[in-house]
Amino acid sequence: MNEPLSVGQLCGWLRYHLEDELPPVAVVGEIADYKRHSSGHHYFELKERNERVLCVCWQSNAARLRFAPANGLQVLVRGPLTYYGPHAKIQINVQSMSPIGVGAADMALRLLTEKIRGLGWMDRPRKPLPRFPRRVALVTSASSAAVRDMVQSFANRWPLCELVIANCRVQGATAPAEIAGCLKSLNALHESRKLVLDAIIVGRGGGSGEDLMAFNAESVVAAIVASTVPVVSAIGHEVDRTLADAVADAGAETPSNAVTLITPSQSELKTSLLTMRDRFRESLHGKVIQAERRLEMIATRPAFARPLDRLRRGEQRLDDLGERLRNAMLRRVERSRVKVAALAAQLESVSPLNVLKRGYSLTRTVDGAVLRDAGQVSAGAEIVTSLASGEVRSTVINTQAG
Amino acid sequence: MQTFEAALAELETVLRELESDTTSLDDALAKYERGVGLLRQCYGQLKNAEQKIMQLTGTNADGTPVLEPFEHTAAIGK
Repeated sequence: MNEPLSVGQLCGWLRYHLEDELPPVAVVGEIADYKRHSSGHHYFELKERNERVLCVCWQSNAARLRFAPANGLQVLVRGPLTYYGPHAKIQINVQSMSPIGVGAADMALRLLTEKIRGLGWMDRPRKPLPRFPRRVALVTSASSAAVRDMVQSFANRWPLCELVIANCRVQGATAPAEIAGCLKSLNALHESRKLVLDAIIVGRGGGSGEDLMAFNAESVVAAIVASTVPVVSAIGHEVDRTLADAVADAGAETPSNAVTLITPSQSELKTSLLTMRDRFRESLHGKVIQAERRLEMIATRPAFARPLDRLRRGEQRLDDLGERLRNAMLRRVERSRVKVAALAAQLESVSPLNVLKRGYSLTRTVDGAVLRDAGQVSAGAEIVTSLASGEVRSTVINTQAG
Repeated sequence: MQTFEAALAELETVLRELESDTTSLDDALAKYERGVGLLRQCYGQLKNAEQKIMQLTGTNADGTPVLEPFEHTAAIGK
């Protein structure tokens, strides 16, 4: 290598050896100087004592991180080395990063728990569970003991419910995506009314620690929260509750318990139907007895027992009324008679005949009009004068206005 | 036919009405008949219930689900 190189040639040569010839590296270190750029890219350093290496996590990789990286956290990063010419930097192009060491998984879980609490998902309003479900989907491994237990519980308690098994892996790297995928497609079918569901049970049989990690995955938690169908988590666990339990509409200890939460008991129902049948019978029987008693009471009333009594009572009442009517009429006639005499006397006192008796007279034209004004007649007219006794006919000689 | 839940709810209503003192005898008889019919329907549904279990294997282009009978005895065998 005696020929001098240009800077560009040297940079190209470095890039070629770092990026194309070296296999990707896996490095463990403590995060320092962590920066989230607004572009979505993350820049940080991994340090060990006083040595450091630069790392960059592009936005597409950063979006897939399953925990929130923070300074001081021990992590394992994987990815190829690159040479960034403009700043003369060698850096790791981080493809994946996970917390490591004692409690690292717990740390990641704790960080996710904080995030979920911050989003308000822990105390979001829960959807009501069905009481008599017609169709329920089971999101679990189709070949598991959990499916067998749930099918058996449904058969015992509520066989009227149709079951739809949505098969998925419940542990391993692909489990979270498969579980979340099942929840999403079931909801899509429900919302388009193609497969209406009353509830979804998501779960697995017993397991501990790593086995349950899928139910702590953010994608699964988010799918449960986004579900329009009520979700019951049924994760048989020996230790802590999972995040799926914390956000589900109900969390059951075991798959069978999940079935109990959303179904009535068939045997209890049969008992209560029997009780109702008895109540119906007793109630109707009571009504019949009551009606019979009323009928009896009516039949024994005097009117039905001795019909003539009633007739006689009627006659007596009629007699009585007749008497009262007659008396009332007599009293009324008497009152009228007295009143008529009084009125006659009053009328007598104002009669014009009485005035004539005192020497006055009443003069009328031949038409009968009473004369009050001399202008009513003229000379030659005939007039009639009524006296207390008899009439005088006269002819007018002359008139003189008053 | 009504759902079990609806039939049960109506049963309770009819029974409550029958047990109140205000119904006439004719009305009571009609209610009793209705109640017996509903009881028979509920019993029948429970008695004839045959568990239906399907496995969702995918979704058609038109958005309808692809369902296949699920043989759960195979799972029990394991």
